[in-house]
Amino acid sequence: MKNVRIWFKKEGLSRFISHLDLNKVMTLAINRSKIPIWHTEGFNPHPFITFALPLSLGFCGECETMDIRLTDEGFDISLIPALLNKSLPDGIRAYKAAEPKMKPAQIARARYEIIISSDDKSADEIQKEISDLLSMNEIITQKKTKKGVKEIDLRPYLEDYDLKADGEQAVLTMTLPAGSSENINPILYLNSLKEKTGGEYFYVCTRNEITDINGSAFE
Amino acid sequence: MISKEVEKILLNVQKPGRYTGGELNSVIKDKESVDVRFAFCFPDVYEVGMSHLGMKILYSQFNERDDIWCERVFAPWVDMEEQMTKHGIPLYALESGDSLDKFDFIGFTLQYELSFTNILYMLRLGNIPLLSSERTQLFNIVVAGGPCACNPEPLADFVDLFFIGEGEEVDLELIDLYKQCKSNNESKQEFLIKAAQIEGVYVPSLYTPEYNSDGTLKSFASSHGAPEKVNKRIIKNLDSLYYPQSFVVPSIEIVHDRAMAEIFRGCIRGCRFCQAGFLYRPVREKSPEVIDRQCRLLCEGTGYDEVSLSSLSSSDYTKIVPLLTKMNEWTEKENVSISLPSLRVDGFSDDILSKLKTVRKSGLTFAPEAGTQRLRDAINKNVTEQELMETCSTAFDGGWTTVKLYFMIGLPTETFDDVAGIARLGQQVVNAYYSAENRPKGKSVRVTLSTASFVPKPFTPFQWFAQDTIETLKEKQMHLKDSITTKKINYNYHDSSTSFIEAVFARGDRRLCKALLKANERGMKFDGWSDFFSLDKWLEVFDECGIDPAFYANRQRSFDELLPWDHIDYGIKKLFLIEECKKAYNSETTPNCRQNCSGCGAARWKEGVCFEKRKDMV
Repeated sequence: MKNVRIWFKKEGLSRFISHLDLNKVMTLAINRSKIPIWHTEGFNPHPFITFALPLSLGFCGECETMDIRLTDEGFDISLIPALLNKSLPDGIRAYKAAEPKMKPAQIARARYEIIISSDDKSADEIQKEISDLLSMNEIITQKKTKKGVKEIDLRPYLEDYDLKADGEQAVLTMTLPAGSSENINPILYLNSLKEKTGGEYFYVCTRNEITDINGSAFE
Repeated sequence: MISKEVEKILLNVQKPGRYTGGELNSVIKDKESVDVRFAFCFPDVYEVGMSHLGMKILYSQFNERDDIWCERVFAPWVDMEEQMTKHGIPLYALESGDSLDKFDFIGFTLQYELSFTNILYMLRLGNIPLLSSERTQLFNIVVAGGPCACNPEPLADFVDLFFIGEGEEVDLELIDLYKQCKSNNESKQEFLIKAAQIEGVYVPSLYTPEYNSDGTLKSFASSHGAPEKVNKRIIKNLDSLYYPQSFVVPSIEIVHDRAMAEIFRGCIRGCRFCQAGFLYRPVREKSPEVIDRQCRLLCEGTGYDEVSLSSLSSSDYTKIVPLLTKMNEWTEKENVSISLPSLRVDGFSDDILSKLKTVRKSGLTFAPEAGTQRLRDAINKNVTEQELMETCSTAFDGGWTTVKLYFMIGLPTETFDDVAGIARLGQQVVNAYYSAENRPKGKSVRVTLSTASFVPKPFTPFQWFAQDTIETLKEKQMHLKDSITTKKINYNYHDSSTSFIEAVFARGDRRLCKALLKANERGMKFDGWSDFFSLDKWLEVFDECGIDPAFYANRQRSFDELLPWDHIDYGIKKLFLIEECKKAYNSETTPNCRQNCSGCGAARWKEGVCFEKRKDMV
């Protein structure tokens, strides 16, 4: 048995495939490519796949990972990305396979780039609105948790961010806590922006870095 | 590719994956290099439409041809409709993102009557004029096929032409004719007149009905050389028929997410309520070698690890055990499970079960359809109580603890005692559990009784029958509920008001087009979904149009009445249906096609079971 971590990008329209459905897409692609994957040993054996850090519906990802186990240890894992890519929908592309070096629990932070536009506002206006929001003493918004909706202050998590205007869009880059112990979804900031201004925004959010507590890329 | 405008609204809707396209195996072509663009429309949401085998077959078959590009269109859910309307986005096809009005053909599949409002809903969202007469160019031709095309009349004003019967050959013939007419600069009218000469094509605008003073049909005249009777099309050899090597694999979860192969068409049984059992006669089987190969290719092409062998009654496939044996040679190795839907009570054998290793033990479903032997005889559902009990005992001994039984209420000749018989049958199944020696120890049994309300359908022996009124159906539901005395039995029933509207459209005529139009103006859609269906709205619509829905649903027709679908010919003789109807009222059964030929008329297609050797023949 050999553990393998597969890196892939999820871009374009494939960002509208939910995490649950991504699991299905990957399972079918693995079945189709005949990679010797280990199946669970229950009444209904199915290929065993785990994802280190689920990606929200509507987000692109540049360094997403999933872990599988191979039953054939001699299988050349460098073949895996090309094999999978023959069987994946538009926008999802595997680009690397290697033996995992870190545990998913070590994931601590993620970096996001959010491109924000609006039908009735210029990039400068949006930029101004966001910078007003981020410079408040507290940014209170609602966060849905398993136990219900609770109020949180987003201000303390704002350690590392950058905001600029680019053509008709504003671009917000931010690094936030991520992982199983604490996870802050960047969309919360946009939600509070909407609450504050009452405007309608269109955004594309891309997760482009996942790191451990020391800032080393998740491997 | 869908437009940036669409992309923007997708964040505001539920399940946006329904609207993106880009799935594995979806077909992208250069629109400049094809001659004919065909929008295959399924009048329901993505998850339902993508589960439909017919669409998968025709999609692949069309796209095999270099000169045709077939794309898929589904009905957007209301949240998406709201966004599309707000942003001025017309209904588009998933492959190119182009709106419906860019297509040569806009084709609908008619799987259930309650989807009719969605056809108009989709046309309107696609900026296509609803009435056939308003579309004057040889372009945006609206076509329809599928089981509900057997009575096309309620849609006659909207659809330019219907495919009657099986579509695989006739649709390509029609497209060739279209190309020819197009290159000769012929008009839409000239095209339609020529199309009516193709066997299996019905052009409603070439026919004119006249009515008697009591509202019944007086005559139905054809013009421009269109045939008086439109024959259905039938595929003679299923083995050599085109079958896709792969399906579009949805990226989101759908209703039936698996590989599917047809094992035969038609049904030998002749249950008198079942329209499919008459429309698809005669039974034609695919050979086990062909099915096995097709299943294997499909699993390889899609990655599915479940394959479903589809037919109207799986256990009636004559070579079922050899087929399963053959398939097991590779399915076990590759962790592929086989599912066999539509098993009859009498077809549930150990032999089959042992071959379906991965049948989930969660539940078993059978459809005795009626609660007493007399009524089962009347509807020709030739299943005995003893068979049901033996099957359930086998299942209980094999470790099952839940059984679902499907019934219909409101069947012809049904009494309140027949209805109570459903509860008695449920009780006997409970008793069978406790007398099964090898039943799972320490577990209780759950029997679910489910009733649908009977809807009389064209081309069945019950096509003349007056459907029970909503009130009577409700009384029967309550009577059944009161007859159940144990908590081990659950009872579910379908809303009888939807069955009433279904009955109106199933046996309706052209005058109902007005009602559909009015319903569309009022924003009615998704009638098959309980969230949207409203009897009150329908009654208002009928009232405003001066239509009495009971005339269509609750009126007993006489055998000599001219029926709105009498000019459509599925090969089943009307005289045979009349004989079957009379036998039903005497609770007399008719043997199945393999036991004895009953002379229904399907032999005129010169195929299938009608020409098989029967055991009693020497």
